[in-house]
Parts: sequence; structure tokens; C-alpha cells
Amino acid sequence: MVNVSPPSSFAIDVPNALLTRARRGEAAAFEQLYRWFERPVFTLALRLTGQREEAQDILQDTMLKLFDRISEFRGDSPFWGWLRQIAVNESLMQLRRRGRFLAEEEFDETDFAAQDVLLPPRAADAAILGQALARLPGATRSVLWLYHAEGYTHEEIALAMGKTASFSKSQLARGTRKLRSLLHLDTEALTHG
Amino acid sequence: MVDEDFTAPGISLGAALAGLPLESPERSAWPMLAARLAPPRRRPRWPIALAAGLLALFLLPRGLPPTTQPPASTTGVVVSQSVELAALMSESARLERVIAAANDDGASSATATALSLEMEARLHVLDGELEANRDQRKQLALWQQRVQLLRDVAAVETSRHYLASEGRNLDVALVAAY
Repeated sequence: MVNVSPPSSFAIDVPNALLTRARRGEAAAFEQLYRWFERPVFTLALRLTGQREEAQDILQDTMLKLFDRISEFRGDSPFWGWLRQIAVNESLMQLRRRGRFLAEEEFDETDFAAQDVLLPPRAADAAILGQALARLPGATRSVLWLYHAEGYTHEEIALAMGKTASFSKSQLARGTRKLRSLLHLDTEALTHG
Repeated sequence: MVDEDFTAPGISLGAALAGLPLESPERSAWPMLAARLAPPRRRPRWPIALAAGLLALFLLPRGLPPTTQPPASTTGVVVSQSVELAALMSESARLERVIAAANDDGASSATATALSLEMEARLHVLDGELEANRDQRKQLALWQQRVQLLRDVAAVETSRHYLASEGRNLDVALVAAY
């Protein structure tokens, strides 16, 4: 299955001149980077952890790591992807600390079809969808978000979570099914084909 | 009864997730980060702090001259605004470092605390407006207000610091001055 995702909210082109100033330690350059990426980092952390206070901590820790490690950024890939990976790692680390990671499960190929279903129109209501997402286990919600909103592949998710690609596929299928159930959707009626 | 969900077209999970709005934190992490970026503190040289702090305290709140001259031509406006914006951001970061360093001694007075809280609240409002306004001209005006406000905060903090080192109190100094 090809993952055709909308652009990540992180996808902001950062001028090289600004990065050069940040590498030199200019506070104004860091402040600009902070202001551009504050909301994408906070949103990603909130979607993965489901907790605003934790997301606030992750925002702070991610930006501190940005300051400490910007000299390690080589520029052979977009800056926003590099920063996003830091935010993902910090968020997943937070989930691990709270014991919210699920045990490894074998992927059942019959689950795979669940990924192709459409959600009911009410899923377009941000409040309703947000409430349904909040009821998913942290690891499951993380897989759904990283795959669909950030465009990660199963292999990339597996690497970030320290799991297998099979785990990622399994969580995606189960999470989609659970989400659909939470949105009171009839499975059969909205399956593709 | 027909469930409208079964008859209306659905949306993909990716589109639904993409439709969720970006979230904003309840408080900016920047002040803490700016303090972290500040260079190691050195012992302040109080005579200089006195001159700078008191001068700023009694003069700056009544209005500073603009930091730059207006652009001479229309074509120069955008470039001029970008340059001024960068200068204001730099000045803002520098002032935040000054305030963080002066603010780290735990000593305060009722007036200084009230002033700081009031200015902090105004700063929070300004930061919210900066988030909401992407227009460069508007951003420029907001950054000018932010720098002015930070100068005021820095003036209070450095004056309070000096007076405390002299065994005096900002409340008393303000009464004597006004």
C-alpha cells in the first residue's frame, strides 16, 4: 500500500543563512526557529502522547536538543525532517517512560484491509476525531499519526519505536479499526471496493 | 431510520488527521530557552549597572526614539523592514538574557514583583499577537513593542539589583524619585 500523505506541518523551508547564524549561537536565529516550529513540535507531541503538559515538556526538551545539537546537522536533508525526528524521539521516549508502549504483536495479513476504509463524515469534526484519538493506546495513536499525518513508512516507524515493521502494520490496522468503531461506523458499508 | 454516515461519502483517515488544526502550547517555552542560551553569568559591575538601570528606569518608560530611520524609498521598504525585524529580534534576545541574569538572585520587592508580573502579562499578549500576525509590517510594530517592553523590564530588574546590593529597596527609591 502506498502511503500518500498530505505535507507535514513541519515542512518549512529554513534558509541556510538562518541555520548558519544558529550554528554560531545567535539567540535571535534560535528564536526565529523556535517561533516557526513551536506549533508543529507541540502538535506532534500532543498527538503522540495525548497529554498537553507532556507535550509542553517535549516542546521544551526538543528545542533544547536543537540548540545543543545543531552543529551535528549536516544539511544533506531538510532541516525540518531532522528537527521532527528529534521531536518524535522525545515523544516516544515519554511514552516509554510512562509504560505506554505495547508488547510486540505479530501482524495478521487479514488486518491489512482495515487500513483502506473510509471514516464517516463526522471524522472531519476536529473535536470528535480528537476525542476518539485520545481513547487509543499511545503506541497505536503514534503509529496512526506518524503513518498518516507525517508520512512515515512502516520501516521508519519500526526504527523510531524500536519495534518491527510488522508491529507497525498491526497497530495501524488495529488502530484504524478501533477508531472507526469509536466513530460508530459500520465496517462493511465503507470499505473500498 | 437511516444513519447519515452510511449514505454520505466518507473521508480517508489521512485526510481526517490532516484536517486537525495545529495546536498551541498554553505558555511559550522561549523565555526558559532564552535563559538557557545566555552566556555564563559574571559578577555584575554595579556602577555600570546603576547608570544603565536607573537611566533606563526613569527615562525609557516615557518613550524612546525609534531604533531606525524610516525607509527612503518604496523599493527599500521590504529590505529595510527585514533588516529592522532581524535587529529587533536580536535586541529582544539580548534583553531577555540580561533580564534572566538579573532575575536570578531571588531578591525582590512588592513593587518590583508587581511590575514584573504586569510586564510579563503584557509580553504574553504580545507573543500571542506575534503568533497570530504574519504580516511583516504588523510583525515589525509588534517586535518594536516587545523590545520596548523588554527594555522596561530590564530597567526595573537592573535598578532593583543595584539597589538591593546597596541595601536599599526599589519601593523606597521610586517614592523618592516621584
